[in-house]
Amino acid sequence: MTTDITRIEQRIKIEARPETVFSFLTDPAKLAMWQGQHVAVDVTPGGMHRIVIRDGMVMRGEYLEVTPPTRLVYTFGWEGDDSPIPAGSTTVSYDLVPDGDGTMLTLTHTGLPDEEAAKMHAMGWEHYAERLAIAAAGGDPGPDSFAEG
Amino acid sequence: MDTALHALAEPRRRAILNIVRDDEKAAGEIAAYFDVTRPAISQHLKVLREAGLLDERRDGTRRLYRARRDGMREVREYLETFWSDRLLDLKRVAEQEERSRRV
Repeated sequence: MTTDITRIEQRIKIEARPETVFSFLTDPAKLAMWQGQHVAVDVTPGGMHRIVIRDGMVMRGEYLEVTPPTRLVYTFGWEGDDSPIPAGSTTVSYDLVPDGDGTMLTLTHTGLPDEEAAKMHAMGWEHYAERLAIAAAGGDPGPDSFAEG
Repeated sequence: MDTALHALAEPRRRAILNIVRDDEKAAGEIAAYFDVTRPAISQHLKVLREAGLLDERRDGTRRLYRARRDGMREVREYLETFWSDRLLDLKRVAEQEERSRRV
């Protein structure tokens, strides 16, 4: 049996109603109580989140789905041109299911790079860096071969 | 687990990993990419090696470095711990609020 290294799934039972749990996923003041030091979020589909965990480590992404109090989805990554997980490149979802008086919370983190993807990412960077250099020098890099098919 | 991400939090160390992602290089060759002292680069290499992100091989008097193949696995392991710690914190604060409401 092999594990899918591009995916993390974790489940936890919380003795609080889904409405309460959901508020801790979306209210900036409550988010700061368990996620990071500086929290800037716009919890609407298309809105951004940026959370400073510590110096040099900043989580950033965009909300994709906000459905109180059952589901929250956002893209996730760390800031930085050479981040091992570029901002917005992976997806985190929270699913809340009532369980007695409490909530069964499932966190799923998908799209994590495997070794091949990491190499592809490096190749992609070289490809675009080259095109940027041509364009910056006043040249025409031509149609983007990566953008086709 | 935290050592891998601590190691990756420094931009120069991420740059070093990119330089030796596919090609093995000597410490001197790596240092030539940067405008900092050789001991500073040696220190970065040591941190990366101890975090399990870099392989070191001796060739005579030279030391050669290459990004470790399963470095990404370490990042994933870090994230496993990161999320389970975060979820336990979330459980604690959410249950605290729920209890104070029910009183």
